[in-house]
Amino acid sequence: MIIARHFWHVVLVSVTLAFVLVGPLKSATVSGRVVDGQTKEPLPGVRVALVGTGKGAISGLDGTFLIKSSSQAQCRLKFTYSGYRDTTLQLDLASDGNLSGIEVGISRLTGKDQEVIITGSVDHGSDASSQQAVRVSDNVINTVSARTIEVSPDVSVADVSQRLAGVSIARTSVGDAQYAIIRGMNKRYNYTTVNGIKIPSPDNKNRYVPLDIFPSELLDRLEVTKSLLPSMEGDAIGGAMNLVMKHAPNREILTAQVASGYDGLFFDRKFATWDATSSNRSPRVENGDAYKATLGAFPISYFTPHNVSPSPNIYSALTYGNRFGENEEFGMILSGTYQSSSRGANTVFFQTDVAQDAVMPIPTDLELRTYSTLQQRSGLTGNLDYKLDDNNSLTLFGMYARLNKQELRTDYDTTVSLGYPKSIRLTTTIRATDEQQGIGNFTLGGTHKIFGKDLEANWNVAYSSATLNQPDRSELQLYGGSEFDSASGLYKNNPNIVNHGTRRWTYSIDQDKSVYLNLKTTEDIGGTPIVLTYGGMYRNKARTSSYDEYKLEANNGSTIQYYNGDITKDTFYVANPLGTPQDFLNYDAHENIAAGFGQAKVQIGNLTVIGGVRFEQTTFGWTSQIDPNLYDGKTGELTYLDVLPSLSLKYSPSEQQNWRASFFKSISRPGFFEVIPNQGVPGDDYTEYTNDSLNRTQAMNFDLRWEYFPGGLDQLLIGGFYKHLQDPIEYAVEYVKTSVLLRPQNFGDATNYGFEIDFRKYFSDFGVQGNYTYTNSQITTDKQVKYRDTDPAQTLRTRMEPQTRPLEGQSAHIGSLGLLYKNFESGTDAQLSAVYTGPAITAVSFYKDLDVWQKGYVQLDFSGEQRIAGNLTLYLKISNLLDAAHDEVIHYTYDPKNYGNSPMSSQVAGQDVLVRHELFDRNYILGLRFKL
Amino acid sequence: MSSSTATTFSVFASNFDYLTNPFDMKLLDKMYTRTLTLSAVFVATLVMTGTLLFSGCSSTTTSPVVSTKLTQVGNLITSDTLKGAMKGTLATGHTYYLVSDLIIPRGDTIVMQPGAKIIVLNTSPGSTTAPEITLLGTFASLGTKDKPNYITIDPSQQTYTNLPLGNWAGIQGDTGSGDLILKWTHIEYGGAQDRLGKNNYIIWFQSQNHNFILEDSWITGGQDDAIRVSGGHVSCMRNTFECGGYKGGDAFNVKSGTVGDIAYNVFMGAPTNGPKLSNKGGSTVQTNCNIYNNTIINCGWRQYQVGRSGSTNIEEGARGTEYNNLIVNCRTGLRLFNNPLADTAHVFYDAQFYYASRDNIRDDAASFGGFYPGDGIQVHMPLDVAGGTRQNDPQFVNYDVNKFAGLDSAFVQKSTMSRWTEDMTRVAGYDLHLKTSSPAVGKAFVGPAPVQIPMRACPQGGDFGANTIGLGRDFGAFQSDGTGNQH
Repeated sequence: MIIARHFWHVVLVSVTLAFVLVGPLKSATVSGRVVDGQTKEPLPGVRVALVGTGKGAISGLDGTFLIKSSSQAQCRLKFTYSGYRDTTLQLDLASDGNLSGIEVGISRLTGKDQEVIITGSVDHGSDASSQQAVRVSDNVINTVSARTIEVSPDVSVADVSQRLAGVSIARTSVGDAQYAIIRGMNKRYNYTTVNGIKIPSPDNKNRYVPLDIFPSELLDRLEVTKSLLPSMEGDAIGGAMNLVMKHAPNREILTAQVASGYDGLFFDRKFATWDATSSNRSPRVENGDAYKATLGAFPISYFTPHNVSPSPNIYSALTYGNRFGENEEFGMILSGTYQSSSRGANTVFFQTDVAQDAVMPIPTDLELRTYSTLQQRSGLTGNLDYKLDDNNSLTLFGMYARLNKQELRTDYDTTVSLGYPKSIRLTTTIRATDEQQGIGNFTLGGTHKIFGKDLEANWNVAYSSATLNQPDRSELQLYGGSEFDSASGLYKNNPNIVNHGTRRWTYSIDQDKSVYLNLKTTEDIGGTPIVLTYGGMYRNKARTSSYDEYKLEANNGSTIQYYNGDITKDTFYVANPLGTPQDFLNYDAHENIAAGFGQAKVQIGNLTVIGGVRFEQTTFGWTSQIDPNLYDGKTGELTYLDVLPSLSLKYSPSEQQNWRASFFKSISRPGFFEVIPNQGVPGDDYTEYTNDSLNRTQAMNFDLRWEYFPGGLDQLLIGGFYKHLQDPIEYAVEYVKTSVLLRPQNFGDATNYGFEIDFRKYFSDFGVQGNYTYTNSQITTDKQVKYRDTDPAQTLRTRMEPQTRPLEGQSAHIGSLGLLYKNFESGTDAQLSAVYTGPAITAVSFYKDLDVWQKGYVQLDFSGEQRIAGNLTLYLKISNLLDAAHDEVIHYTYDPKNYGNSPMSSQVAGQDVLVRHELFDRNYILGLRFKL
Repeated sequence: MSSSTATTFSVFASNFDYLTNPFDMKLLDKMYTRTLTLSAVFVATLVMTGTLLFSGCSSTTTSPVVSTKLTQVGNLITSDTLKGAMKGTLATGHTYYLVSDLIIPRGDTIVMQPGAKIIVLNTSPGSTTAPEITLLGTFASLGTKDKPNYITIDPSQQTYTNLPLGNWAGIQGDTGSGDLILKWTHIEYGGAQDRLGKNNYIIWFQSQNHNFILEDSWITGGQDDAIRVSGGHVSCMRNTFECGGYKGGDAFNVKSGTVGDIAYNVFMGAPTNGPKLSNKGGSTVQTNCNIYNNTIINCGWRQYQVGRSGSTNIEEGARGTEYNNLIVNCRTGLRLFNNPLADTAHVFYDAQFYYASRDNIRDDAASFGGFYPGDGIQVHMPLDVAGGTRQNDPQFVNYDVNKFAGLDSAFVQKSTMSRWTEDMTRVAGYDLHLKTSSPAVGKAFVGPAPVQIPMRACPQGGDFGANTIGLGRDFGAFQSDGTGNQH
């Protein structure tokens, strides 16, 4: 349409004068609002000078400014803002010397001097107010901008995601946000893109991408798309998380920041670490299948952790961007960041079993765990763009993000005696995990207007890779405990004896090669312009996973290996020097997706209709480690076609309001590992199988939203959604004759509906923003019930019964509330933000009604910054102010009478049975930021 | 439904031939000139999609095309070399050499006639690459008292030091295998690593609807559990388990889905238990076994976890019976575990005969001779024989029950664990029959039991049937009337 035709008139500069209600003014003031001339987005922090008077102001959070003027017939206002062209306006004042309600649009600095200053008439109640990305979008999205991220306490993109309406997060063992749960749909139902290009996952079994890999500083914007258009990949049911990385600015920029911090947990205890010196690849992968590993391949340092005071955390970032060339046709930006932090958690964990003939959890072990995790997060992103001419431009984007974790976990596991405390077993497990995850992406793209600018072509060629490397995850297990000595009436401690160690290498690489081509034309059909977009993509994915686990047996066969604190005195032998080449995590998989779509956009009056359909043809194949002489399924291939229609309606009765309704169909593909056949892996309780007849999940999604933009950056979004899922995937046990197997399965239908409210309101220097989402999902799956049969023998049996519950990870209530203060004059910025996550299932039990629920909790974070010199800002971030506990329970009331009449540590009579109680403490960051 | 999808796709595909070459400008040119046509087709597509949508249809669900197993051509067992997929008969008096994995395919059978012998080659102590017998079908070794069968390793490697290390990978059944029948068969030097690099059981049987008959045989050596049964019908009668469990484990470890009788066996020096019952694991059939008239000696001294028992044990939802077991110098007596709880309402036990050569063998609990483990919920029963130290010597014909009572023995300190020794685990060379003067003779429980003993879960009689016998009047495996264990 018109916008499209003028799309390459990159510089659209307008100064619109408009009346905006800013309340009654008393005397001789000039007031108004300053906005981006193109996007109409209010600009906070613009210096507004009343020329010739020395008076001025800085626009507030909502872009408003107010200057006390001396009465003159006319005044000249000069607007100065970094990245924008200086703009001066001559204005007539009212007879009393006042001028109010003007809206001034200023233009971005660009290479071409094409600015047009349009001076409109002063118009009371103008609807020429802000238009935000959310507002002009064709579909339902929510965003967080770089500026919001900068002043937030967030360190990784996963942290940022929890600020979005309808998003809750799953955390790591040390309490850091890791995965996004969108509208109660767990990670499996969402995908992640970088600048719109889907990226692979480093996970060696699944598709979903851990968001804690990405440092937040690389972002220009984080978007979550909740309704898909045909032009988007169709395998998101909850939503698609798009990381929009920094792009080349319009003028030279340089920002640098450095900060340090400390985790409050380590005020109270030491940080455990070890020397991680093992080889990057397993002895087998490095030396071939016939290679017999010797003890030399397994450094003993992994079994000998030592305590240190953690070095202070470091957070640093550097960004440089500029534009070159005669016409500034060449732009670049390079941004790098490095973070190193020592994190931890203290955990009480109960292992639970189930009673033999009742729906009742039985704690069997009480584990006390401490985690010490060193996280090193680094990221590099670069973006080059080159404008050949008005019709042709090219971009080259590169990104690499890496997260290294070194985690030491000590676990003291004591048996729960249930009234028979004559002997107490203690198993000590020391686990050292060295893990590196990396995600990289290179995208070359172009936009061309051809055939007299009537056809716009947009193409991208992308290479992405994701790697997971866990070199030598080590575990050492010691047996100890005490026995009651009837002679003395005392407990006698038994010495610790080394049981065994395991050493595990995990490696996975997933590589995508993709091409995308989209074409856009505008056709005039019966006088109505229709924007047609069609295109296609093809992606080849290749994934390789390797896995080896070596068992180091203590030499107890010859001499008992007592542990006296010095493991080097003990001796081991390698029980399986060849590794585990036949483990099912050694596999190759490929997936080719060919997709095409067509999409039409029509505007009829205030109604915008976008409809279309997407076709995705998926070909998935594998080669597994299964023995082809014995079993089916060594190799396999599966092809299917999806037809994914989508329809979005947007009705805008006024500039301040949008009504949206949308429908789309989408899918979610099973994880790679889940469908590759295996012959059954003996697990703790069940033999675990994969499921090669697992279907992808298909969903019908409906959205309704009302958007209200009363002015400025203020907004109120109220929406509802309904999803119907066919074949959702859940892990469940299954009875095959008399065997009970565990495997991923499709479970009929599930529904998920809810509503969201998202609001933001600014009062000059103050702002408040918040969101609330109610979600109600239901899925019915078969669960086990143990019971005693009424047959003459009263046999203990297990039957399957359906249980209806929410989807894993779905909280009925989630919400966030943020209070902001920003004073541009003094350069002060402060933010207090709270996120509430309501109860949700974190582990689905295989037994009926015994799911593990995380209790609701509030995370409260503070961040504040103060400009201390021209370009220098000092900032402070404190996360988890309330030291919120992460508690998990089973909904079964604890009564000591049911548990051998002996009170259990940490369990409280009359409350739900506790499964996990975890504390992370507060995290402090103090830093300096330099901005040119 | 599938046909409508296919139609849609073919219409669609014709529009998207450029996908095969997205950079062909001629195609792009053609694309543009065809824009209007495309638009028309596009609208048509929309309409079709709408139709699909509102008719409730969706794209099809396709089953994967998986590779089929490679066809196996069975060798005739005229060769003396065993490897790969085979079926047929191993003839009496012949020796066969197993050089790499022997696979008995599903539906196929290998029978060893009496007096046949298999020597496993390519073995080494603690091997991780040695061959196994992979059991998908049925295997029957039909030795007799006069002509026992052997599955062992090369005689040059047959030393006591090699015995517990696991030299070949044993008989590994899968969840759908056929029967496993071993009569009068010496299974020796097994227990090396299985193909997944994880387990070291000499025999793993896990086929719930099939029979595992182990009678009058010798299971000698091994690193971990000598035998694990994760489902099946069991008749484990009159066997000798010795010299096993180099790094731990139970001699006859029963998991969920297993029913049958375990009787008249000798368990010598198992790291934890001789026979152990649990209902842990994936079966809808409750574990239920009768354990009676076993002779259990020197067990439990190599279980490094505090409180784990050391003779015989029932836990985690299992039911069964324990009668007439002769428990000598074991770390603890019979244990009924409370967490996870055995199906205690349906566990019946009485008449175990205990002997301890030192005080500290029986100091776990103050009551009833102190033979009972502190974390169990079993109680002293009326017919139990549990006296003081060195009371009630069972009087074996040739075995000194006090031979390990010295200060240097493993029994000195309970908290000081033992390691594997030939002395404590070996049966050969001793005679565990009872003297007629033994207090264990004639005092055992002969019924009626609250439940049926024996259960006779396996078909009885004939070459492929079991010979399951009931309760004996003497404690332990050897009966003064000549019945019971025949070794």
